[in-house]
Amino acid sequence: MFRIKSSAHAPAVSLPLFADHIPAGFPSPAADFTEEELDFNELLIRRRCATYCLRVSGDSMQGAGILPGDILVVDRSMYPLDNDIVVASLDGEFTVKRLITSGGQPVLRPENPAYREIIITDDRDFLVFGVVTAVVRTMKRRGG
Amino acid sequence: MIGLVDCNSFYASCERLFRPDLHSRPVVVLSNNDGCVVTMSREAKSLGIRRGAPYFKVRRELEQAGAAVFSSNYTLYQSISNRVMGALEELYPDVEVYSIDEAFLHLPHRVPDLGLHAAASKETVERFVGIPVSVGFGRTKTLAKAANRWAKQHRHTQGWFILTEKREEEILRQLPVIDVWGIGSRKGRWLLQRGIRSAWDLRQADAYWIKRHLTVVTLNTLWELQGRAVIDHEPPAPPKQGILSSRGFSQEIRELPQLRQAVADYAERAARKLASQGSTAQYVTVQVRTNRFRDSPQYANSATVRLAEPTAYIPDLVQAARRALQRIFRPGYGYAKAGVFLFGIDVPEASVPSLFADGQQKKDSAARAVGEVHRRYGAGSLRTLQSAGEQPWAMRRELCSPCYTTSWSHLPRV
Repeated sequence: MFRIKSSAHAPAVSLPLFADHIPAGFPSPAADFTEEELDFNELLIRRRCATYCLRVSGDSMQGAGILPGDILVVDRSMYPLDNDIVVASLDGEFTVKRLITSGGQPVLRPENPAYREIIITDDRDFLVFGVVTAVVRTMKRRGG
Repeated sequence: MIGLVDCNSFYASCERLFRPDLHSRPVVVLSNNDGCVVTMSREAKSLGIRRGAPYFKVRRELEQAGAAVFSSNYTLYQSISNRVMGALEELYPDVEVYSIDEAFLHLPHRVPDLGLHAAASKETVERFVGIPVSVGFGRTKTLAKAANRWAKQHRHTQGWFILTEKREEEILRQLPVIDVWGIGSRKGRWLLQRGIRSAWDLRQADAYWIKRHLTVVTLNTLWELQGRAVIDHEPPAPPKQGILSSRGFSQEIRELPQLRQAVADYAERAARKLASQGSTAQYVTVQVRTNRFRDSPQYANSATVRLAEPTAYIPDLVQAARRALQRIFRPGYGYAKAGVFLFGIDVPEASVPSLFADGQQKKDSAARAVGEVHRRYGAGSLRTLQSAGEQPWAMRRELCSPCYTTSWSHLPRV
């Protein structure tokens, strides 16, 4: 029994594949080249137990290609490095910004001229939640 | 050595994970129907509120302290629990999931630098998942539990503690017998009355006497305290033989239409679980009962309906539940609880007959479409007419947080 995956729209359907029981048939010339189909989890998730998804609501990172409505894939297992885009909690709120650690005090840098840099002074309640590793955006069609 | 990793105030920690505004506020999680307090953050504990306290009694106090109060969101807790266990499994080959918030680590006998393991497992779970944990190591599971408790209660341990053989006397003397793993309040009181106050006293007790009065279970505890590992790996849970959806109503139901609606709702819940596993069921059992604790006429019954074909098609399962209910409903009672049990579970392999049974194929594709809607918009976003509408009997979960990690429409916002 084989599982045959149909085209993108229809879900997988299981059908008995009789071909491999017919002694007269030629084996498929492609049989040796079979590989797994593309899997987006493999592309987007490095470590499942440490990966969270968050929905973007602001436009402060539009210069980095992060738009309102996008889904951020965030990996908590990675140590944040200088210039990483991170999700951080700042004074009780989540924010996504570029983290600059090369100067004296860490800085959260937006990528939109309408916003200002945030210098993380010691009096602020600051914690990096995780490193943004991917952005997922689905396209809306006018017809819905 | 055996390690026990235990999440600190697990439900409260889950509620905090996506709410940075709650990081230093007291957080409290309530039981089913928002009845009583089941989990408290450290800040809430320091208010002096006890676990199990009825919510209505402590509500005012919590409000005044600025506490955040949540209904139990088991969907969220299970998802986060899976991540905690996943993180531990990356570190150790032998992780035994003991409960939603605890796991035993089985390490080879002589491990150098056990402290490093304890600190690393703690740090890893906290960094990967974001849930604080305590770690205790001991020669047996019971001693690992004691070590974990010690770590939780003593801040200077920084959340982990290795109970070496040398320190067992010192630590066990300070552990009240009632708090020994597996003892509990009833046995604990019995032991106290006979002068056995600490874990160390229990360890010194006469094995024969313990076995005679408190069965072999407590004898095992005694041996474990002595360092003999006798509590083995729990046998793995058997594969699910059935799916049960059962819960009490927030208010009594007396009329058939409302009971029908509740049973349809429970049947849908069970059927959704069934469909999401890709299995089918052939039998539907419905149980109803009145409130045992109330001084009113009592009634309890159940009935089972067999379907012609195993199915995961929700309307068929709901219809079967309705037929079962029809057989057992008696007027004049105040019903307090109902349950729907699906069994005769099967995982269909090839759909050969369905190629010829047109109706079945339509149902299959309808079931897949419904499953897809539930996956995208959350369980229960699409329902049958029978369960739809106001559900005054529904479990009170007025303070439920979003399912941050399992529903696309509930993602935390940044």
